[in-house]
Amino acid sequence: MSDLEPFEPGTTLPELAETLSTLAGVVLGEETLDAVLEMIVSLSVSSIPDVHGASVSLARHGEVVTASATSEIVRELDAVQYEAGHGPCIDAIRTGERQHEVGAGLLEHWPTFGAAAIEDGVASMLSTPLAVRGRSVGALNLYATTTDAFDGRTAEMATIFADHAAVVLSNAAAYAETETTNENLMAALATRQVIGQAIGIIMQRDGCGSAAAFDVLRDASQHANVKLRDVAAELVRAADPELRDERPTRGQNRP
Amino acid sequence: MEHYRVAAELTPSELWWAYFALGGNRTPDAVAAIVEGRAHPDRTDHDLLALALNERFSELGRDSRVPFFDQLEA
Repeated sequence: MSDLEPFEPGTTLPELAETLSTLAGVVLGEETLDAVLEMIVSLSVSSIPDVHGASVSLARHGEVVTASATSEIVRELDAVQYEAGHGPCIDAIRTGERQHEVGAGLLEHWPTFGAAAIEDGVASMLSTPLAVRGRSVGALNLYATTTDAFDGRTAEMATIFADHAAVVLSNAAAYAETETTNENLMAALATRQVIGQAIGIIMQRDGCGSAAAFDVLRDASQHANVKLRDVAAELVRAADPELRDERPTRGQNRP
Repeated sequence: MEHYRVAAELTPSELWWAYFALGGNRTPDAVAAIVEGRAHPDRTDHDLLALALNERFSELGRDSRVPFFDQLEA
């Protein structure tokens, strides 16, 4: 991340798009997600003329939070929207449609937020929804000091930033799914191993086959109303001299 | 077996993970076919799925139980 050059005003759209694509490809985890969102909001401010603040809002567990913001004022203006339950970013997330308002329109459209924004010198506001797999999960919010900040090309740039922020979010979600799969796999393999060991012990002890040994475990589990995995673990522990005799200091005195 | 899965509040994926942890070797698709009644399980797969569901019912404090293979034959 650190070797990426900061953008100078006047960067062309293809250049921006190329760098943002690179950004989207490197996302791996939660830390990187925050770093990339931070880069997207600061790029929005440095590349779009008249934009003095930017933030990314995300809907998480039923509430909207600011994941990244370029300044404390922006963070506070976002918070005004969350508390009021209205505002461009809330509406962008809820409707999945871009919200754009200028001057007195801010006050008319969103009275509480509009008043706070105008007081802080905001003259126009653009919130672009972030869609992940067809669902609106957040918004890229741009605050500007002039009324004509989001005309034509700048609105197009905002859409490019928002699209890339959405790709970043989508990658992060895929990464989280992979992590969950890995955890499930480790847990499942550990359970399979202990059940397999227990089946082996019963086969040896009772001189039976694996299916019959499994039935012994199954019946013990059902009668005691204890999970099969726990029945198996107890059987393995009782049969293993190392585990049975040295459980508290297991593994410490090995040659 | 599908109505048991729904009653156990398990997604097809969660049921497959539970089945796999207990020693099952079939793919998620093959297990889905068994659960939905599109394929007939052998004794081992039937009992692993029944066990996975029954352990879940115990967790939820439900009395519902899926009969094991030998109980079906009886």
